[in-house]
Amino acid sequence: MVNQLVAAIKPSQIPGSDPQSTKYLIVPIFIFFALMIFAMIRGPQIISGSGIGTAIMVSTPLILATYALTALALAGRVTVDLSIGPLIGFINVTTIQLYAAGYIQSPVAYFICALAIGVIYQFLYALIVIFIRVQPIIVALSMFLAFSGINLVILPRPGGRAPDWMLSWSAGTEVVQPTLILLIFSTLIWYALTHTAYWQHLKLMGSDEKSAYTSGVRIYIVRIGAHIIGGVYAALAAIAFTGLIGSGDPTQGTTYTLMAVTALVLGGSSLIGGRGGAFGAILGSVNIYLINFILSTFRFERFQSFVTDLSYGAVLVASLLILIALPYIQKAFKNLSVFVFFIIGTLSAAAVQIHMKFDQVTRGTVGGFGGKSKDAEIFEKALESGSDCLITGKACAEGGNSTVWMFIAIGIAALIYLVYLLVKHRDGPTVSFIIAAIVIFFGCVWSGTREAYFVNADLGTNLQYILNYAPQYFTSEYLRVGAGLPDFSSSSSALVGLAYAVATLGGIVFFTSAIVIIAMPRFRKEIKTQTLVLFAIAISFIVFAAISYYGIESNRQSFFGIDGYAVILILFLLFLLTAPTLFSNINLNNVFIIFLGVLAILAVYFLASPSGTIITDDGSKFYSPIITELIVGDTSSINYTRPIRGEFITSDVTWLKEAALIIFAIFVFQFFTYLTMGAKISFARFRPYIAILSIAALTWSAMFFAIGYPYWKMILITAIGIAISPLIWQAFGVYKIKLKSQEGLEKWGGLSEDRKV
Amino acid sequence: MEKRTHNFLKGLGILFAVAAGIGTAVLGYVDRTDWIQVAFYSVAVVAIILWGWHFFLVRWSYRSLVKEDGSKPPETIETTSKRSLFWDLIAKNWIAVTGFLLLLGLFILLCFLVPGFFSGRTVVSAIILLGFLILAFLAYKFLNINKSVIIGVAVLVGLFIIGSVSIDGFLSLQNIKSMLVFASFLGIATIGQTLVVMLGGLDLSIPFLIGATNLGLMSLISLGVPPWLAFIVILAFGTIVGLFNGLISFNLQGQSLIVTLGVGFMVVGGVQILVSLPTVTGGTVFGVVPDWLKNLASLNGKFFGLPIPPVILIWILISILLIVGLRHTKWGRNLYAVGGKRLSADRLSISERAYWVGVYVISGFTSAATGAMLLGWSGGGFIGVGDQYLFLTVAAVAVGGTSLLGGYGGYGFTVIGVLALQVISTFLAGLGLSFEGQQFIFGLLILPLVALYSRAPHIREQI
Repeated sequence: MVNQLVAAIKPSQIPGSDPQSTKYLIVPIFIFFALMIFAMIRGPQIISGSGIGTAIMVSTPLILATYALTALALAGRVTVDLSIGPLIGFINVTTIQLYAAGYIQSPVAYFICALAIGVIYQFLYALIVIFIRVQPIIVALSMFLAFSGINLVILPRPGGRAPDWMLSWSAGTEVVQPTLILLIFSTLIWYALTHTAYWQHLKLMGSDEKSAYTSGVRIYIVRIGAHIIGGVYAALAAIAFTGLIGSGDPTQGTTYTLMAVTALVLGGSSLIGGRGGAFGAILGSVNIYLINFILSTFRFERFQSFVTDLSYGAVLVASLLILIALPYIQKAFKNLSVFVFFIIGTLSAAAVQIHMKFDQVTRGTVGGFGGKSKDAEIFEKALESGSDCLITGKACAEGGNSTVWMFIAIGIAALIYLVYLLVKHRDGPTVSFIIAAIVIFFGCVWSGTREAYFVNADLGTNLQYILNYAPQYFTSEYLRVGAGLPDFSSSSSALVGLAYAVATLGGIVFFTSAIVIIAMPRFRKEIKTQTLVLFAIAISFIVFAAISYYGIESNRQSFFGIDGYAVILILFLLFLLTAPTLFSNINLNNVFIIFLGVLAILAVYFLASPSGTIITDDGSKFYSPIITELIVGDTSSINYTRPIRGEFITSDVTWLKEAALIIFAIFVFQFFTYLTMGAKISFARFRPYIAILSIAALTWSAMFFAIGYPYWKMILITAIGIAISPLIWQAFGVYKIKLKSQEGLEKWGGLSEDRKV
Repeated sequence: MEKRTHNFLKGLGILFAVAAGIGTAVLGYVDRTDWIQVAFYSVAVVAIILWGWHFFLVRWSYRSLVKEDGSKPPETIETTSKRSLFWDLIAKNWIAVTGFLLLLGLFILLCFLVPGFFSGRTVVSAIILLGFLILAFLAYKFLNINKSVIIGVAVLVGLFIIGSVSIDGFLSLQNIKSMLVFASFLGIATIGQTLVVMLGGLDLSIPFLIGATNLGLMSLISLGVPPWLAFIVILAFGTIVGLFNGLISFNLQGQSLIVTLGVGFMVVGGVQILVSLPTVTGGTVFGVVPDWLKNLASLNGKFFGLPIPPVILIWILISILLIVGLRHTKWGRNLYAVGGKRLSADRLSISERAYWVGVYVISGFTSAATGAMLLGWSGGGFIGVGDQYLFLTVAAVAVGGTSLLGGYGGYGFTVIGVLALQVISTFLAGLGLSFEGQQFIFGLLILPLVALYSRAPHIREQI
């Protein structure tokens, strides 16, 4: 059995063994989870019934439009149908006007009408491209202009009313809704299409039209087919769009075109043709939605549309730049299947969500520090001191401006380092992890927390203006490391507080750079090993800071902030992702991935709240980023009690469950260690992994402790695990040898060489 | 055919032409048209009829005459060639003839259906247009010049004729001047696009860059920066954006369209944020545009006392420089080489990267210049001022006849395209259509224009 398992793991690691590689999806998946985690930290309401419902409702038209574009882009010749937005607008306004005139009252007629418009238009498009032989982009541009014009003629300004049967589509409060059914239906059709011979022809034609022609593919028919598919999906997108806005809107064209094209590129499809699929389209569209969502949590006020423009453009360019690195990424991730990568992402996102959920409850019940936002403090401070530091926008640090400069220096150094790495090693992992570093960094320093009740305060126009409108880029300006300390003269804790703060921040910066080094295949092994050790030290710093300050004071306020846990969790997950690449000649990747996955599932199982749900509809709370919470409390009364998380656990966990967990954890640990050794047990083979396994065990224990699991239980697990490990390996080994020998006996009539192992 | 018959035909043609000219003049008088236009139309009618007559009858009859005198071809061939004077020509070009007859039928139909359509003026216009179409077709068939140039010029002149006969004031000095000013803006903005397209790329950041530089220049001036300095800063900004475009799209040549679109949005968003940071309102900023900038681009601009806006002269100068430069300098020839076949260019040790980045830098620079000059024209910064150039720059290049696949074309073609587009848009505006209607028809018109000659070869021929 073990043999078969080991054998089953290996074929997936042979590079190039999969001709229809979907490795390009790794980039969209990575972006998706990075955005998802960021979005959950910014606004946890995204994971709730209404949040998901809204997401489905808003992104379905975009997904369908991206399907249309994907089908067209697959056909090659740079068929980027820029007219897709105005076409959707055209179908939208036409059907609305026809409905208002009393023509297409029934849903069936409505669908037929919309589909007919889309299909006829795309059919003509195909004919023009095929027989008049104009570049598709010219047709698209012409029709873009023509549709933009005619839409405004048909419906001069946004208005009208969607059909009555469509009114419920724009509610979006539930996950299961008509739009979702439409989406699922369309996706099923898509998958049915992709399993036809026609689809192979289409891909062949897209990647090389001449070869397709010479090998007898009827390229005219295939191209017309691609356009008709595009037309159908454009029409469905228009229907979903009509349902979304519930009226007619002739002006959405440009934005929609841009969004759909961005989604197409973000989904990893190639505009040159031959590559692309539904999964990529969905990911790309959802990424767009997430970007919008994240931007909306910042509340840029009058800058909103500008920032949206800027970020669309930036994301478009960045995702294209990643496409350059795609070959390198495929090379670097050759041991990793896309599916497994997706599962990891899901797990890490789920873990973050659990943290958000629990920390929200903790804050709510305990109160104290968590109830006060940063703005409230700034506000009170401004009222007390009457100083103008807020109005001028300078740092309000009481401990002097040196902190700010320190952060700026660290930031610049890190930036230079990252740029250097990027220039020196232009490969996939570098790019991906620099993006991860940037995302985490901005998640840390960027604050968009705004509370409405400050607006009415009588503070003079300038201060009000800043409080209400100014986007807080780099809120590290507001860092007040020394400010929260009681008194420099009477207390000795200043040094302690500062040390912890520096350790935490330094650890984060250090972490990002270390990740990059580890992920880089080109570094020598020694450097990687050293980095790993340093990395472990950095993580311990962070963990130590988190744990030691968690139960501070009687009201248990924590300077570290609950969000810190979310960040730590991401760090762990990323660490466990990257550590395996250290010794990539072994299939450690999959080992750790599965190990991690099982642990995360266990965490979900044991940590689920008594009500049994991890999804809440309460979306009213925003969280301040971690660094802005760095106001060190009174460290004189540090209270090393058990974290309050445990309160949730004890009520729900029976001893049977705990025993099961312990046994299962030990088994998993043993089993995967065994696999790690390549199924050949000897201490010599085990030795290289001792460091990794120890670090992994330590960090995971620390994390479990941080979320409230008693430490003695983890020590117990480790102790039992280590003590009985040789036995278990022996058992595995014996079983394996037995299998082998049986096989050998059957084959040769005697024992094989494997006996000597 | 005897020589006498030939001379008779010739004389008959002249007589007919003069008669038609006089008829035109009379019709024009009856129609109470301006005397300049009457003279113009009369001369045009005479000239066209003479030309057509010459081509259809005199030239071939003369040719057969010469043949008879010389080598005495066999009788059978002579009879067929006699027949070919008319029928053979039709048989060979049945598509064109059918189209021509359809046009004629359409005209007659319109005359019957639309009340007030039939007047001396419309008849003359139709005659001129149809005659011109024949002329253009013949030139296309029998002249040995670059065909896309002929079609471009033909379309341009044809549109001009249609415009001048159907819209009052189309030929007025003011209108022509304003058309030229707008054409200059478009022409300067299209310089970069042409060069980029000649390498097989596309630059969609032009409209956004125009809007951003327009707004940025206004904002800088209103912040108190000296206008000349602001102007230079803006040009430098455009150049840097172009450089960025070129550098990052070099490895993504097939998708340069999307790369530049993304960069364009970044630029627009970034500049808007920067501009609206110090102000309370977002979007439009107001300020005083310096006089020299106004003079440069406005309709009433003077060039050393001459009532010609300097921007027109700048455009003409740049056009000449660029056309000559592309044809006769090493840089220009190398550009064609890189656009035509990368491998060959590489073997000639021409740096593909340098040329690719170079054209994008030029594109950024010219876009910034257009944005700055549009500020001089409008007098107020507005981010959306460049929006229409997204379509127009690509359309002008394509209509001109430069191949979007690269390696073929030139700025001379683009000039024709720019002028044609300008005439169309003035014409549509002159018809009194709403902006949306103009957009619609404009979009639909581009397709046939491009389809006239900018066609890709059939897949059979590509293999």
